[in-house]
Amino acid sequence: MNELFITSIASLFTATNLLLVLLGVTAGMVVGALPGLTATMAIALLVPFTFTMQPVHGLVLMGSIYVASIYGGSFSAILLNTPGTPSAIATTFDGYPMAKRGQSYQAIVTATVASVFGGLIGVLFLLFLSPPLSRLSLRFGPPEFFWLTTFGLTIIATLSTKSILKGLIGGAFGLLLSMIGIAPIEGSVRFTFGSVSLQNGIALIPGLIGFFCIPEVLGMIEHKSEHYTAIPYRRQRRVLWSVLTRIVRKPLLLIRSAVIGTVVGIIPGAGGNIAAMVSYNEAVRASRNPERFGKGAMEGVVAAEASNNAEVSGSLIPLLTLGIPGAPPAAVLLGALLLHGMRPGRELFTYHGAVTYTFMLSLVLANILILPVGVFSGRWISRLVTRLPVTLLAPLVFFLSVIGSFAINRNMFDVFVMLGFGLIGYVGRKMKIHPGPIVLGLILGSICEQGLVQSILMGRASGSILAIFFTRPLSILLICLTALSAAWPFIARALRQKRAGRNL
Amino acid sequence: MRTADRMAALLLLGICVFGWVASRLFSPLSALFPRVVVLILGGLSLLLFILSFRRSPEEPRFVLIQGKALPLILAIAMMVAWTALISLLGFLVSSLLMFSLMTVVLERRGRTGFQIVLRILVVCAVTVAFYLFFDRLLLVSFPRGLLI
Amino acid sequence: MNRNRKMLRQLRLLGLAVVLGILIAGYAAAGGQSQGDVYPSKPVTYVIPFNPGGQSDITAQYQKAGLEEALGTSVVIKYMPGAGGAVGWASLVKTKADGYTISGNNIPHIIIQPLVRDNAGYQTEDLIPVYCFQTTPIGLAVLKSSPYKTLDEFVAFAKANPGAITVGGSGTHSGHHLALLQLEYLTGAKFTYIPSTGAAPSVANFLGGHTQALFANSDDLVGHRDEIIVLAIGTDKPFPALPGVKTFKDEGINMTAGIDRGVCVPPGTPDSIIRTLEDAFDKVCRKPSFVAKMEELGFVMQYMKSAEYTRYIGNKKKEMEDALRTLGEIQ
Repeated sequence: MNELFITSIASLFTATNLLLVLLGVTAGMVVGALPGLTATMAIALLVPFTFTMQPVHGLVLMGSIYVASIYGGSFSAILLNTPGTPSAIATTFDGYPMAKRGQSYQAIVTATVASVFGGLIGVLFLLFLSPPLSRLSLRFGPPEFFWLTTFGLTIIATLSTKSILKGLIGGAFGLLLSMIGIAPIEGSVRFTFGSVSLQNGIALIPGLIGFFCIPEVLGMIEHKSEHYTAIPYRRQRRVLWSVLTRIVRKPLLLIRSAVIGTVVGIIPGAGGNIAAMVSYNEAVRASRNPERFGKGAMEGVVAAEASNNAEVSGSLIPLLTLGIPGAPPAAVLLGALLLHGMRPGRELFTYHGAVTYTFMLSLVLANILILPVGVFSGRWISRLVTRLPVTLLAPLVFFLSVIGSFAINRNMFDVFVMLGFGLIGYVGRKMKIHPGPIVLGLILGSICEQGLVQSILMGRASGSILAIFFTRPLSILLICLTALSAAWPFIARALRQKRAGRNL
Repeated sequence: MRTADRMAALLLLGICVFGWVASRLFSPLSALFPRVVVLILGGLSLLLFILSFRRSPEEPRFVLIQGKALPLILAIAMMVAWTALISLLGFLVSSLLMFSLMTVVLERRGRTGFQIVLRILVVCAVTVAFYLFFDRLLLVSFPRGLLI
Repeated sequence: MNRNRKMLRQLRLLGLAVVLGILIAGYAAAGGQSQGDVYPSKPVTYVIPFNPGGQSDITAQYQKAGLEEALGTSVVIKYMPGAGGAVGWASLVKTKADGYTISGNNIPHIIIQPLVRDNAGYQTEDLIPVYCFQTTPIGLAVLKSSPYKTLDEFVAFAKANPGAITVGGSGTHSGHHLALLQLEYLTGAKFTYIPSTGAAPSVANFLGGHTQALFANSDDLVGHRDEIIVLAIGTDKPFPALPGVKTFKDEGINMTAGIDRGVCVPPGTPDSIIRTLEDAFDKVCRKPSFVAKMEELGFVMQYMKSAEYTRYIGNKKKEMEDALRTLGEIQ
């Protein structure tokens, strides 16, 4: 293995590969930053082009784009309160409030540093712990998926700053939306009102753009200010240094977020969006002042961005070892691998070992390159967005939303979906029902339903449905996590009161 | 806020009733999850409805639209028109048209002719640039309609 | 104040005029496309009604270069995933039948979907078959640690304990589901089908031991052959990539299972265009390098032109309608 390592490092540092990583990082960042363009789309659009390249070049390019686009999503999340990719949803929670306070550059630099460190930790897991982690990923069966999604849904309590009831309503509404289309089991056509296009369900990206982007655009128009943020971008010195020192002083936050990201990544079907939200949730719970979150706490951005970059490597672990993608972009990478005749599994690490190790090492380089590219472009992008007049910015964001919603499935229907949900989301925001829980319900709904129904089928076959749900070790762990997370708001309140009582 | 809450709760309850009725046509396993979610949503909406009768001291003022409603309604109308025109006139043409229109119409402070023309040129340049990038480079093939 | 408002209005009109000017210029530049008389004179769009990276996509990528050469025009691959292919097919039947849009089609998807869904968006007969170029055989597998090592043991246990054995597969009313239904129909055994949305999740479920058996495509079976025992494969003759594995027919169960892939065009496409397309595909698919690549990937080659393909689909439809009706899946 050592010899392979050294030859792979040597082949990484060829001019072509280095150039490809740089190109991939830049292109990935742009894709990620534009709302509506996702990592999955970018890689999918690239697969036909890599057909004529050598496998290693194609993989290096796609890997860099994957890493950088997950990071790039933080830009629009921070500047426009719109996740550039689903993985950046959690970044909006604290990133955007920071931008509103004139700290957009700080937020971007924080996201950058967190992504770099989180991503590097993730690649370490990929390089050295792939076999045991891939075995762990196989232990997740239908009951575990069900409990995992219920755990995910309890995060709603953390996301709802004011009214937990409204948050739960939003979440339930999101779950309802996720059921539009053809049922995963037994295939009944549900809630489609006769439309064939709706048979495919509400696509995540148009829904995401609709719920986050459009209300922002309408909000911009509604408020009379000329520019987007009340406080203009203020030039500050030594931002990078101050951010670095602050993050390094909290190693536990970084490591925990990266571990969560990797673990969620290895779970097939759970992607960066879930990883970031779980990590954010845990950061809130671990903090001594949880009320700071949601108002511009740097820790929130760190938690979200470190975990979503770690998730990239996590999703590659079951992909490379078993051929089972851990997230949608990894599924496209699988297609690219098969296109070049490279079968995941032992063969990939031995016969094609040179290519595979070069690919994994290129991820290290990509994560590192994010730092200069991100910090450099972050400065002028945040200046641009905050200085652009709203009359240009609002239509521009809408324009990008249209492109993004269309580009997923090349379907105008999705654009109408985006618009429709945009208006619903706008009204919802007025009613203080926020988009976060709705989108969470939309994302988790299908995974939850499949887990539930598949487990019931398994239970029927084995004779006891209850046993299937409650007696498996991994399930029990997840049930405990769920219960803890659901009860947390009340526990936290009790702890706070006790602490206040002690201070009197 | 309380009236708004009440209306929202009633609307959601209506959706739940519809969902329950629709689920009767589904096969048993396909109807399970919808029914569970409809019950949960229904229960929560009911709770919202009941709580909306409670007077609370720190009640936030419910403001539907801050300031003048006209710019907002115009903006929504233009966004809908833009989306509808894409299939009719083609993506590039309808975007050039509506993007420029939105920029000009939303302007609230007086601007000189020069500034407006400059802005429209910028808009057109940006639109064409993105169009070429996506349509030609990434082969996303936008709808053509009557024009492009 | 009035002067400013008037100026503003004038400037807005000016702005509109500029925009109109750009419109007209743009239209003029795009020009009217002159349709050549000989087909094909413009690029052909090859629609894949599934996500990029899947089996249909991989095959199309390999066909693309040869097609461009055979047709003398460029071929653009367009992805329209959704509803198991239905979104793409529903859109195809509404597309102009001028031969410039073709689509991949899959058996049994295009047969079953209109049968079991109230409104699939298309009818099986609306998709005019042009050429069928491959079959992916489907096989039944268990883990090496399974107590049943042969198909007989497997079926015997299931007969004695109806519904106790869980079998995974991809999708409801898909090729995998149908294979299981046929197995149940022909042996009288009852299983519990656990569908997943996609091949990869069903394989993951199976490898993790959450389902006891799996119906899977041949390439997944070949890829994991070190960890599994393939009880039977759904081809007519033994499958070279899986040596030593018996076919269902060899085991006494008269069924074949597989996903057939080909291309189709919208209804009303002129015969001459169909001829051109089927000749082009025939040429591409008989090339030795293409055949070698396909077999390496685990596909079984087919070379059915339009008439034969149409008959094949007709027969399959009758077969499936009967099976589904007997099993109570449809009225």
